[in-house]
Amino acid sequence: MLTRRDLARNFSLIAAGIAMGGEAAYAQRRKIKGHNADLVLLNANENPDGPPASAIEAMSKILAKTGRYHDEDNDQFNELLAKSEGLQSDQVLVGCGSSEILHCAVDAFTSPSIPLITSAPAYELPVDMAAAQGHPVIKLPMTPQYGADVHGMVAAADKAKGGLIYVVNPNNPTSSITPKADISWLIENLPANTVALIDEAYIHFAKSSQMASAIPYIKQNKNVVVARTFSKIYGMAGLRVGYGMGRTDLINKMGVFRNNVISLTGVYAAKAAIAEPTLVPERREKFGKVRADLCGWLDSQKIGFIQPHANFMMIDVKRDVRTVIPAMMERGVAVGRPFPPMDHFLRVTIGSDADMARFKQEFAKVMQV
Amino acid sequence: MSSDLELPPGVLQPRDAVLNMAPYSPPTGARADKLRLDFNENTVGVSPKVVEYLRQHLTEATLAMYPEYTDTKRDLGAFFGVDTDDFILTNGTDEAIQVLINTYIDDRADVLLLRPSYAMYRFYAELAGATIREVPYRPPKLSFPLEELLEAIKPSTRAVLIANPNNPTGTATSRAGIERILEKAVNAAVLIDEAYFEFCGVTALPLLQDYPNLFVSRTFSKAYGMAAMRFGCLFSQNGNVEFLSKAQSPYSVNSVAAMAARAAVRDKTYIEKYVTEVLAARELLYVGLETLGIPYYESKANFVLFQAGDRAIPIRDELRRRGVLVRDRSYEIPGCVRVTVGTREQIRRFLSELGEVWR
Repeated sequence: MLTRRDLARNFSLIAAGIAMGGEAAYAQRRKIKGHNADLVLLNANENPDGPPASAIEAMSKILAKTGRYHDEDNDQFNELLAKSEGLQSDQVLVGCGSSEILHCAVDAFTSPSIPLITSAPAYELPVDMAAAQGHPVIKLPMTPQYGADVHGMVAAADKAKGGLIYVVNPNNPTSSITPKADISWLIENLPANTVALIDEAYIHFAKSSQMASAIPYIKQNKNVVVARTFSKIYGMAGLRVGYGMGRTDLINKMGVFRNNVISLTGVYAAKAAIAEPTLVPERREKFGKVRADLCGWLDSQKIGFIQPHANFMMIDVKRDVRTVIPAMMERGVAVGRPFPPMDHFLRVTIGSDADMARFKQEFAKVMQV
Repeated sequence: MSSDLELPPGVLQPRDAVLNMAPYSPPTGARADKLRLDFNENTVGVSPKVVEYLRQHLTEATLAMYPEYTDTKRDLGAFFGVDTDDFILTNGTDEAIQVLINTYIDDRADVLLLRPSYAMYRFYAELAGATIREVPYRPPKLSFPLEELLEAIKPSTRAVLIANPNNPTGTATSRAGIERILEKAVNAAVLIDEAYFEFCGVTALPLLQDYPNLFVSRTFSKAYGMAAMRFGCLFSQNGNVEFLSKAQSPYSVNSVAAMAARAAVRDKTYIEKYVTEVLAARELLYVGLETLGIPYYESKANFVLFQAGDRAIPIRDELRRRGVLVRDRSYEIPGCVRVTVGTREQIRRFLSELGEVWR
């Protein structure tokens, strides 16, 4: 992991201007005033299971040592992550959630003339970060199958003489995937001065044979950065641990823009979670079942949706979703906000069986109105 | 300025500012088994009540969710005597400094610093492209250069960044001094970094409502013993806080830290006892240094700078060999070594080792 002392060494890479990111758009729960414990939270794509017990135990044990700075533990964690992905430690950058990695990539690879190129809709944080700095943003419609339009993205980067191409895979909010053949084409055809940022926050939930990680392209020295997080399948959104992977020179360029340091408790929780080889497959299986059950129910109700690959899905409500969201809230179920231009789609997080039973019950009532 | 440093072949020429920066001299890893008097931390750690509270509250449900700061802000606001709209939570003081600079400092903006001071002010200001001017601490006692600083403030000055007490000098200014700075620097964001407040007792927080240009930062990494949790606060009037939040990364403070801070401010006795111990140990340290004939600078914080002449680095190295870690500061104040003040027992051990090394 890069530390402050590394920052000083890498000073020459620094360009002026650090992202000015609005946080309000991401902090959905803050808008829910005075919510009670019965509220079913299906709005923020969190994992209701939380971290595994081993992670909580590891945190409890390390608490007494949190009085000291722990650069060496952070360095070791960096090495461990690298090893777990088959990379070198200088090909990994740890951040406070993957949001910090996205933030660093925007700072490092966009400029007043080099755009951020993304899909509409996709996760908005990088868009807001780029826009706040006055860097251009190009949003392209998705393909009819709700994949990223990789051909359009490459053409846009070519025209702008460079760019940061941002692909969320599986995508948020659509829960759809960009097939591996398209990712491969994208990376093979990147124009000069262009970096592909592949956000794999939700990859652990995907089961499709069409889905593949972009990490192998890092080993081929391509201009690709992959972002991952412990906030989703690992259930540690509160701990703020994420990481980015890329060629050493790309990681160094991003590292100087990092603002924050992760906590020692976060390091130990993540280490414990990685050490459990069955955690991810078991959770993938479990969420897959709940998701398949919801899809089956929606089919039986003749309600349309986009085929989901993550721990949330987009349901076609065939009316302005702005009328559905408050109606669900009144009935004690918090669901996702609107994602223009997909104004007729409702994003719902896949929670526990009990959460989904409650969702179906209330959603059926709301849809009949 | 240019540097005579020769670059290894193939290395890109960095800016002069970087070339001329003193090399950071980090502890060489493996701090764990040493007497660590090098980072101004709480040398005995966080309150056991905080540990106990966290053990009870670290649950799957709380950690699965993105951090929720409402309860923490309410409790911390009550503790500091400010409204919840008057501060943001930060990932330690470093994020507070960076957020303040991101909010107010453009390319070539005039930024005033004191010298020597906490290195990250200069670091983040340079990142933002600021034009930096420095006012030196006043010899021979390295006292706060109030008149010189007031003199240096211009109408175009956009930020004045001050640590009070200052690291590494340990010296401080009074609240009246801070008011004079605030009254002069009307167009600037004035940061009073109170990382070591608990050991000094002087705070600018009560001035918050009187001065729209005042920013105060606090950290839980020092007296509170939570360095590895990453928690701090940045205070200002609510109109400013709105913009500070905009310049901040989402969710930079983790849930464990947010919970720990609530428990920490409830256990006031722990901090009072620790501070009392440190102040007693600081007196012991002064006496010990005087006995050895080593000059030192009187400090308002939990560290003391002493004068080792041309032996600063050898003394640091020899102490390290004996399992005691201190920091060399001779690159910014000739001959100086900085030692963190912990408990009296730790300081006795330090003095005994130093005594042998010094002879």
